Amino acid sequence: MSIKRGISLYSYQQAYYNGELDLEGCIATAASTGATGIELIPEQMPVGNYPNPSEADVDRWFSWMDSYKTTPTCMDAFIDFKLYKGRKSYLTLKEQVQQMERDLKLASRLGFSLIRVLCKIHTDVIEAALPIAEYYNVKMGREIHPPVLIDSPYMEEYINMIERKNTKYAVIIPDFGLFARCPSDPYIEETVRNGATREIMYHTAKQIENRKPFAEIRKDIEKMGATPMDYQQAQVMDYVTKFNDPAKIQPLMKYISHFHGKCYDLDEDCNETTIDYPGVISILKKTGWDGYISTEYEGQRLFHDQNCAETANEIEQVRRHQMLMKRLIEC
Amino acid sequence: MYDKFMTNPNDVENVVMNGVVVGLNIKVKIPYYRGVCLSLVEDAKVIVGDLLGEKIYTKDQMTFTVGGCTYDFDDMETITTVRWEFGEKAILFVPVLNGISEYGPTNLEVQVKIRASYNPHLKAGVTRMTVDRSASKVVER
Repeated sequence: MSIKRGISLYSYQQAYYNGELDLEGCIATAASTGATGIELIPEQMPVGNYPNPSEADVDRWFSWMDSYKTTPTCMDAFIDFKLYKGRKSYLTLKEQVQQMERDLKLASRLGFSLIRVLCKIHTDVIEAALPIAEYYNVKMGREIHPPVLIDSPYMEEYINMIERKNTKYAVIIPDFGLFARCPSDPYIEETVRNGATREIMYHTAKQIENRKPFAEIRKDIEKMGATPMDYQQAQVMDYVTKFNDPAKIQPLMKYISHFHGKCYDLDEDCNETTIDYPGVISILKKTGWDGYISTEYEGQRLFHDQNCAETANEIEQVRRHQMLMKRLIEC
Repeated sequence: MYDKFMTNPNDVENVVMNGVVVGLNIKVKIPYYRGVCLSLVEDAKVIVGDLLGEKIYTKDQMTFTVGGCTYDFDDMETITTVRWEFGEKAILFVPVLNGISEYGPTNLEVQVKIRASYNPHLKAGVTRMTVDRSASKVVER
């Protein structure tokens, strides 16, 4: 067995938004790359109706899985804890668990054995939902996503809960964004269109890649004549790019059910320009891991500001990412 | 998010009632990466500018139509069972008397903000566009 390739249909969000691909079109396009796993955000591309598709909608979904020889891998869920305007506090624990139940039930109807729980959902919500997950036989995978670090007290608390409950229904889904060395060129160019200074932004990105502490980067760009906009953008850039050593993933492998193959920018040779794919996949191969990595292309959104003349080609970027993974898995 | 795709001049119509233009229908898609229930549509604002000056319309002056039903923004705050889906065109009705100007191009700035639980810094989606009366569509109310 080896690592399996999937695609999160999130990667084709722009084509769906603009009416170029419908849900079936996204599945067909994913399958055409050789990927066999389908990850879905039903709040983005509902199967019929979210959260209650008809039986006919569900049958149609499974008929697509058959026709395109694909398998549902992971369903991405949200808990809108700011659902009610004007409340002083967020949704209560019970209300959050009810939203989790809504999504566990839908996942089970659509043949998903795993839902992605956002990294901001607290351990106590997942713990309280365990009996429901068991009932529907659907695992809850909390994402590790930057700026949360792999070895952080936040993750430790979650893993302690998994151990204490001795459960297989609470797992982990790491996002490859954890292994980004620097922001991508399209990201930097977007900050420039928004008013930041190109030279200062590229310098900041380079120093983030060199792991220079932000206090020192700040001194550098001060000398370069940074504007308030430059400081702000440089700080955000530093906040969202936190390189985690791929080796740190190894002790967590027994809790990991799935990976999000985050990608922002694939070049013509099918290399991700910012993320250490070779480093991570080499570790996954050494451990004999045989689950799915879902391509999660997010670079399209770096071209959505009104001043941007260019538009990303999601279909080509996803194809390149699949080629990259195939190459690394098979070598 | 999705600023450059959320609306465009072809999505703007003059709304006519008894022969008088009573406002604009602006078709707009959600400036977010997924659909949400109506309680999460936090704010909307439309700035209309022409030769005669600039006027700002706030959400209390507008209505929001999705799935064939029309809502006031005040009512939407408590609606958690109706959704505005990703990529679906909703209609903002803005009571701009005489609609798109007869006296030259009208500049429109459309802003829609979603209350995103996970991203407190999510900015409103903003589209700025210029619409000509001759090119704009008319719809009867």
